[in-house]
Amino acid sequence: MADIAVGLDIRSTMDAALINEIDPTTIIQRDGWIVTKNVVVMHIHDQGSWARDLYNELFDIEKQQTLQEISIFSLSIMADGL
Amino acid sequence: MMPMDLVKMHPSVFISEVVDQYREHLTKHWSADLIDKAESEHRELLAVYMRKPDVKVALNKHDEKTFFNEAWGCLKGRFMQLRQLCGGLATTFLNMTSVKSDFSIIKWETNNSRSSLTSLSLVGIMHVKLFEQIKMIKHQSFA
Repeated sequence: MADIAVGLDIRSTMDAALINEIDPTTIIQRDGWIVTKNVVVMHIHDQGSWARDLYNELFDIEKQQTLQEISIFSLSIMADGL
Repeated sequence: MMPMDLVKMHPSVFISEVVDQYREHLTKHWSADLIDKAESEHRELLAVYMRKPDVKVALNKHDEKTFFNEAWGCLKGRFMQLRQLCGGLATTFLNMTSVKSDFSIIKWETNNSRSSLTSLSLVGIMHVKLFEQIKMIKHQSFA
C-alpha cells in the first residue's frame, strides 16, 4: 500500500491547505484521498512505451475515463486500507 | 550506459531519452517484445535497487572507472536484455572508416575528438561540432 501511495503520490484530503492549492479540475478524489491526473499520466508512461503509446492514441474523453478508472482503483485500495 | 546511471532514471525518462532516441535503430535488430523486455527489466532494476540493500551498496560503489562487464556482472546475470541494449549503445567501431564517412556527410573536417566516437558517431560529431562553436563563442566573449 505504501508503494502505491508513494508511486502515485496519493495524498490525504485531511490536508486542507493542500486541497486549496490544487486546481480541482486536475485531481481525482475519493474517500478522503486525492491524486493528480498528471501523476497518473506519468504512472502510465512508467509502464512502458507500449502502454504510453496506447494511452496517447486514445481520444480525450477516453483518456479521462482511463485516468478516472486507474485513480479510483488505486484510491479505493488506499481508502480500504488493503 | 551503466546500471548506476539507469537506477537514477525514472522509467518514463529512460524510455523517452534512451529507448525512443534509438528506437529506429533498435527495431532493425529487435522485435517489439525484446524492446518491451528491456524496458520492463529497467523497471525491475529500479525495484531491486530500492528493495535490496546489497545491490544498492554494490551499485553505489561504481564510478567512471568501473568497467562495463564488472558493473553488470554484480547483477549476477539478471537484466540481460537491458544489458544488451546498453552494451549496444557503447559498441565501438573496428576502424574509423564509418566515422570519417559521417564527418564527410556533414562536410566537416575530422579532428582529434573523433577517436572518442562510438556507434553513435553522428551524434558524437554533432556534439564535437557544438563544443567547437561554444569554445569560439567563449573566446570571442573574452576577446
